[in-house]
Amino acid sequence: MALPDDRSAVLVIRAWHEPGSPPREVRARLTQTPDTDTTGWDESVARGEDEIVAAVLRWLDDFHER
Amino acid sequence: MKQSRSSLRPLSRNAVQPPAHAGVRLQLLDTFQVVCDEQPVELPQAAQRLVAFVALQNRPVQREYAAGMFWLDVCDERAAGNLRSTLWRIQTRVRGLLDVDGRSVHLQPDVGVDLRDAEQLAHDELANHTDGAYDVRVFAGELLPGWYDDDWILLERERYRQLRLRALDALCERHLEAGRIGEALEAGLIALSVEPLRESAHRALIRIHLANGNAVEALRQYDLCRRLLEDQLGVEPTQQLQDAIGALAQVETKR
Repeated sequence: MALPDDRSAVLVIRAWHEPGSPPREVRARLTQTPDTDTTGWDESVARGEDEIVAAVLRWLDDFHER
Repeated sequence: MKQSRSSLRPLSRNAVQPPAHAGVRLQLLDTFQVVCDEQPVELPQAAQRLVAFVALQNRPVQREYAAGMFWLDVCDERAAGNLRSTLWRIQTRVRGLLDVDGRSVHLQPDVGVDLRDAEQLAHDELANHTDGAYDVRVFAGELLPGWYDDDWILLERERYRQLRLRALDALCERHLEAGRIGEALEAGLIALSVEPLRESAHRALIRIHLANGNAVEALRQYDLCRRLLEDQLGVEPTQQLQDAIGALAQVETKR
């Protein structure tokens, strides 16, 4: 039986907004693994929509390059 | 360092505790363990994963579904055989944990699960149905933190994480309003350990220290938060946090 050859990876974004900070200034902790065969997780933090989107795009780039 | 302990009182360990379950108990917070009649039961890793999966479903799991989930890389017959073998290993080691029939598997209803007890307590806390007189450390554990390979845990882990954070915030506030400084501090510190960058957790701890007359600790907490925010997010504390520390922050800034 042939094994499935798809690849998968995980990115968890924990986002929160602090009362008193600008309305759209979301803060986030990103927990990621480049692929599900890798044990362990990398963590990073981001502030604001631009930083969060950039982090997601970086993670996607890493995923595609593997 | 000023630390007034006179206002602290010990945790009420015997007041409201998660319900006691005779027979079989399943621990999913911090680590996996099955306890039967007060004795831990050793299970192989595949059996542990299957038990945890079934326990988190809250409904009967079709055998085909479970087999496909855990033995994706073999044919259906082999997967069904592996499931049958794993269930047999579980049933021979601990009776009263799983209900198994020809079609489905589910957790027996009288099995105590620490996650479910903690969730119920958290919901009660948020609904204001407790007096807060229970050991806050019930909210200290994360759902199977070392289990990285199982996608099906991720959402459950995050859902419980959010729930316990809200419960810890509410419990911290309840203790602080009642003047139970020690309990408020413990709840606040656990909340902070869940996410060290949340200003609301730092703010609660600052308020606790100030309520306890401990300006030094309040300033230390503020400074810790300020440094964390600067180092990791490149931001200053919000006005709300600065308001919490009030005039003391100006003294700190001038140092």
